[in-house]
Amino acid sequence: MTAAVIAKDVSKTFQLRHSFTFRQLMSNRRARNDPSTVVQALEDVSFRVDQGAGVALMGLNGSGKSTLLKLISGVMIPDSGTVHLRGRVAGLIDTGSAMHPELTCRENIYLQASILGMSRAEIASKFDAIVDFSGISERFLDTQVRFLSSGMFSRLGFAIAIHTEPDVFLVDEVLAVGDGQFKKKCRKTLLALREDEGMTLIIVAHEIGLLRKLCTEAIVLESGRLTYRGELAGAELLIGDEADDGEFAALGDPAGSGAH
Amino acid sequence: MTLLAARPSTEAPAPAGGRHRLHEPGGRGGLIEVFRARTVVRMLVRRDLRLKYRTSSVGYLWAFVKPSIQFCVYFFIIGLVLGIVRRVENFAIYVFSGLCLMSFFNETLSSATRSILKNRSIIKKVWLPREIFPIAGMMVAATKFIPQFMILMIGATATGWYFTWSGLLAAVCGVVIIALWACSFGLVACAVNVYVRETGHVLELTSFLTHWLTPMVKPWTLVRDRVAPFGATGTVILAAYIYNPLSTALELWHLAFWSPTVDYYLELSPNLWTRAWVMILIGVAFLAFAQAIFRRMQVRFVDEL
Repeated sequence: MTAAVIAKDVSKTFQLRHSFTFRQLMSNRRARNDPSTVVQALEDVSFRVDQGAGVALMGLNGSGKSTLLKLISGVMIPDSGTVHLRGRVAGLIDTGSAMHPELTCRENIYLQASILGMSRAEIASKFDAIVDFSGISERFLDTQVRFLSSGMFSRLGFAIAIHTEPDVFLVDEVLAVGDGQFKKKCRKTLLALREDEGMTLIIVAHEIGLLRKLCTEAIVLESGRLTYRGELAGAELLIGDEADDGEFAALGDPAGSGAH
Repeated sequence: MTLLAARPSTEAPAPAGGRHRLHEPGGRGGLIEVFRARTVVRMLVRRDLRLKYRTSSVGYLWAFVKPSIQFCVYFFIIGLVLGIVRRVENFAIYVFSGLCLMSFFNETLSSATRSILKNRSIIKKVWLPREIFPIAGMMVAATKFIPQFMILMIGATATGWYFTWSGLLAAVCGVVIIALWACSFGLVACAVNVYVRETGHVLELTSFLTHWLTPMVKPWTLVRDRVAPFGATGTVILAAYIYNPLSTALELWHLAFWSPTVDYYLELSPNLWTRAWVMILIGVAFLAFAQAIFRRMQVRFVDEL
């Protein structure tokens, strides 16, 4: 199999600065105390993801999952180590990052799609498909998005992202949007893209049921270190205790808990 | 978990469209990539214009309010009350041509400076060459310049302005100088603003200084005559007053739009044209330098936003 993503000894630290003003900085310097705390978000993480794989990125809150996704999408640069990937990456880290409530649906589609890397011709040709997928009726197209329900907003964001046809698709907890029917549609589309088109899928989600449907493999992070890489079932056993504590179950949709 | 031998990262090829090659995510960034991503720039500009003017009832008219009030104040206070109209013929065009150019500088600079923080939700989530944001911001600000310029042309023509090729050259050089320097300062300022959120206050100050430490409301000869008795100190003050890009651009604009409307010969400051070319060259070098600074600083943008 060809590799889609290769991470090698990736480390990332954050400096949390507590002082912003010059006065604070100066008084800190005089008192010789370091005003910043260094947080190790990721430490020597190495893994390889094959093309067409579905990988669940698991771990507790603050274990470094989102940071890892940001490193893969290129938004952040690792302190040391390297990330390589093949093809176009769509960072569906948040649906509709560029979408603005004051703009109309039409304007939002053009803006968000261009941000995700589509050309104008590409957007124009996929416009109808995007609208169709989002399920927003034609007569709302020129209405400001703020008049739509928040569910509609997220649906539109997801519809745009999925039409960028990425080779590597990063998903961060966005599947918790929309109603059950729409979630099912998203899941089906993602699965079809992965199985038929060879799209690589890396998902951060806390719903075991959803992960079971979309992924076969898992990566588990624990305080910034990679502690498990292999079959999804193994990861489930590993963090099963936390799941039973309710953290994972809390986000579960009806379909997800049904599969439990 | 086996890690296959990846290509050594240092020799990894640049991403440029290589669909089937391994590459590092993101890209090199830089002003050239902004041109490649011009769809995004266009969409961002469109978004800002829509948001700015759609929600207010008089819309685009707001773009005229600030410069017209500034113009009125300068014309009445400096011109009539302090009596500069007696020294400078057709003072209205003298002030307004300068005001157009200075608000072009100040608006683009402040819009660029705010751009990174304003678009933080995008920057944190999607990789794009980050120069896109200050550039789009500057383009939005530049749209305000067009109607002001049209008013200037109407006013100048009504008071006897006529076309000359040297005037056209002077006008273009003036705009190029301002654009280069505003762009360079803007790139540095928006990057610095991510780390130290003080830039907003500094900008208010610069906008004030650009109006008073330049020949915008008074000809340079007036300053020369006043500082002459101070000898060497006076020369230094005069040099600082003349030898800066804004003053150079302003004088070029006065040459282009004001001087055809008056009868007497406008005394140019020493080496105006030489200075114009030098300011353009330094501006280009400064832009390259600013871009290098921006590129270094943007690495940790997402950590700080």
